[in-house]
Amino acid sequence: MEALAEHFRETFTKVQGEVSRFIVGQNDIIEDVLISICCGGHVLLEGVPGVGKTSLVNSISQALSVDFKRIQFTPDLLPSDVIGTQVLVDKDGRRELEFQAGPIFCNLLLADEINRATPKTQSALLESMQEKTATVANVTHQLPSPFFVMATQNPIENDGTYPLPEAQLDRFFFKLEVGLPSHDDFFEILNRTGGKQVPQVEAVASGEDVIKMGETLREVPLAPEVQSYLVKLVRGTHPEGEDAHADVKQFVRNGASPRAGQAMLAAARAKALLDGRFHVAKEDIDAVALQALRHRMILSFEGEAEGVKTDQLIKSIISSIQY
Amino acid sequence: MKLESFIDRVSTRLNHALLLRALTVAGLIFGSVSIVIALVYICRGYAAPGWGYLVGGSLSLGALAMVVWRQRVTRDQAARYADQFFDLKDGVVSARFLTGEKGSAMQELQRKWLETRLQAVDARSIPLDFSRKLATLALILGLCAMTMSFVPASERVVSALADEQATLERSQEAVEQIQEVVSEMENDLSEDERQEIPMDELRKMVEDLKPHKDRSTVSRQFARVEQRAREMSKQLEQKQDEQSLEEAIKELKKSSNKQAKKLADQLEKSDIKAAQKELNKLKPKEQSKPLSKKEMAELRKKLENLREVSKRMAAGARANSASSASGAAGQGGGLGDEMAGMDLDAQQLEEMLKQLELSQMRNEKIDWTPYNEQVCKFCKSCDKVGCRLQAMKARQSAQCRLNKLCKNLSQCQNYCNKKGQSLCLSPVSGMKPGSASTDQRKDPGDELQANGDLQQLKGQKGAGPSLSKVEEAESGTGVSSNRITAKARDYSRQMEAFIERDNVPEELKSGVKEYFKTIHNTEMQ
Repeated sequence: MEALAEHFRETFTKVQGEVSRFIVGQNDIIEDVLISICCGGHVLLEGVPGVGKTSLVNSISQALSVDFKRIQFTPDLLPSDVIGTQVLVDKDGRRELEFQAGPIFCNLLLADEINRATPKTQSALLESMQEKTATVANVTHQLPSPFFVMATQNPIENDGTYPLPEAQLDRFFFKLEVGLPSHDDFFEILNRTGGKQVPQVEAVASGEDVIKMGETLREVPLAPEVQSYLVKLVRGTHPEGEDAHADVKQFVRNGASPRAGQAMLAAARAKALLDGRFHVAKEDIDAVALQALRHRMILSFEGEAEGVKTDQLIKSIISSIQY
Repeated sequence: MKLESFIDRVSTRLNHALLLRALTVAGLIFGSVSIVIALVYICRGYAAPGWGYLVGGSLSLGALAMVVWRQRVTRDQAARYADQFFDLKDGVVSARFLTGEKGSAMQELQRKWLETRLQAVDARSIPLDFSRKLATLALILGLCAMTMSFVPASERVVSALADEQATLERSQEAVEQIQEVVSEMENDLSEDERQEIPMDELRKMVEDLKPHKDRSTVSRQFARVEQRAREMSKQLEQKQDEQSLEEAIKELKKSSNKQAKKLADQLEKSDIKAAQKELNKLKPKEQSKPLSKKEMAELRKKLENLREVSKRMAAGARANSASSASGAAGQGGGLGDEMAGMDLDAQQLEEMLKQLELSQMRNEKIDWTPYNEQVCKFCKSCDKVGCRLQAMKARQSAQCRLNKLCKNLSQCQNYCNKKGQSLCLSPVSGMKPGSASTDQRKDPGDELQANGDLQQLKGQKGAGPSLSKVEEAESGTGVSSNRITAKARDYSRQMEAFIERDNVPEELKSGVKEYFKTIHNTEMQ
């Protein structure tokens, strides 16, 4: 077990280091993306254009040496463009329908600007993201393992976009907000990308490594008190609770689902292993709470009107829970 | 095991800190409460009471116990605190949970990880978290409170306390004594007296007397009993009968009759039994056969004696009833009427005997039946008077006892108020040698009734007649009031000499007497 834990840390550090060669700064984002990959979760990256969202996903795919596909979501994109379709082919003199796999049949799918596609197309991802399968013409096709979806969306260009439905948002393990780089990071980005040679990301891990890392995570124990804290935190996002925070009661319409708790637990286990520990601590849960909960809390009309940030609400909940 | 001992050390350390905090709180409570109570007393001149410190101590101990009990650090809390303080990131909490689980590789790794961390930490590095400033303040307050316990009470308070204590002791003594007096009085009561005095009520009131340190309360208690005793005594008053008897005695004394004089002496001495015997001697016997001349003469002589006694007694009763009719409201009935009735019966008996004597002289047949009936009637009247006299005697005695009790109660009040001597000390001032104090209390007719009454013995300044008193002349008349008084006294003497004569009718005598009494009363006023 010690070897597995060491393998987890080593692999994680290697991939993180390799990605960091190309992506300057954004260490937290890289770590969170890698954690969600280890946990078998999908990530929704949100940020203004040009902050390196697509580059990040590209780099990770290269570092993990997994099958990578990219779909640029547009309003005219159809579900068949994502999942695949049946085409008429000649086979031994006979014409028959054959399933032509879409770009979803890969290990790492980059759904770029996912909110530009219509809800119908967005919904085509639901089954794949949860069940890791795709059904076309009543035939269910297994997706390759591991399978991750890295979706990006632009928070400022709302015209002609289709906000993701709650059901789909809940299927994302983390929602990460990619911010602008700092002065030094920006300086370094220009240094690295402005020259003749662009840094190349090399493969340092494989899909099997990712699967193995996911299995290792499940061994990390969780004390009942910490588990209780996790439950309190998730329940605290619901306005119906008697001991819910006043802001939650006022500004939140729907709280996080149990899936959020599962995601937080898995991510906290990864955080613990990365920290060199073999148990989950409250700090681990706090560290992943924002990423796991921010897209699962639906603000009320009043909350939207007041411009309340879910991150602030989550911090309030964390501070109000007695441990 | 190592983990558990570490948690124990942390828990002990935290409980030490809690104890220090609790001690600080307890010290503050003790100091504050004791100082407040002590200040309240010291400002009023008293010494700080010991119970104030007891209350402060109890409250502080209670607070200490409550704080320690309610906030004592459990092992779970200690584990969590250790995680936070030593930045073990829930390592201790998780390790305790994992100890109860089945052994796994990850558990072993966690145990090793924690052991490595625990080697680097020491529970003694946990600070004993309590406020030094508050602890110092608590210490100062405690010292101040203890210092205040040495502040003595003021002289005024000391004397007041001594006074209260003395009053308490005196009241206790007085209560015991008065209870003893009542008990002795109850034992000494005759059957007749027992009927006159409601002893149960009196005993209960006396038993309800409680020693008290407050003089006014004690006085009130005694005064209440005294007032009730006076009311009882007043109810036993029989002025009319006493006056009637007094008048009757005077009349009997004037008589030349030997039996009347003897009866007067006996009544004067209040020897009622002897007087009853004397009256019984006067009763004539019933006759059934004709009497000889000699026997008839003896019977007549006897009836004359009887008539003389009854006439004198009735005259006295009449004189009294006349005076009371012109003076205060008359009581009516009573001894006077019974004596008058007896005289009437005697007169009828005498007349009846005269008729019988005439009949005998005419040699007519004598019928003794009406005479015997009249004799019987007279005997009944005579018995009535005797019973009345006996009842009077009992009431007088009972009244005397109650008056004595009132006096004792008054004396007790004075004793409690430090104005007189106790009932035990009273006889020392004038009892004859060999007489015990109980004798004095037992004997209602003590010759030294004024004993213990210091006011009476000493006299009060400004009270009572003085030889050096100069009477003021009436303004404008030029005649001294002293001369008028002397004149009135002369008239009074002359008239008294005049009314002493036998041939003056009783109504006139009493009328004149009443007239001068009225004058005398007016002068006194």
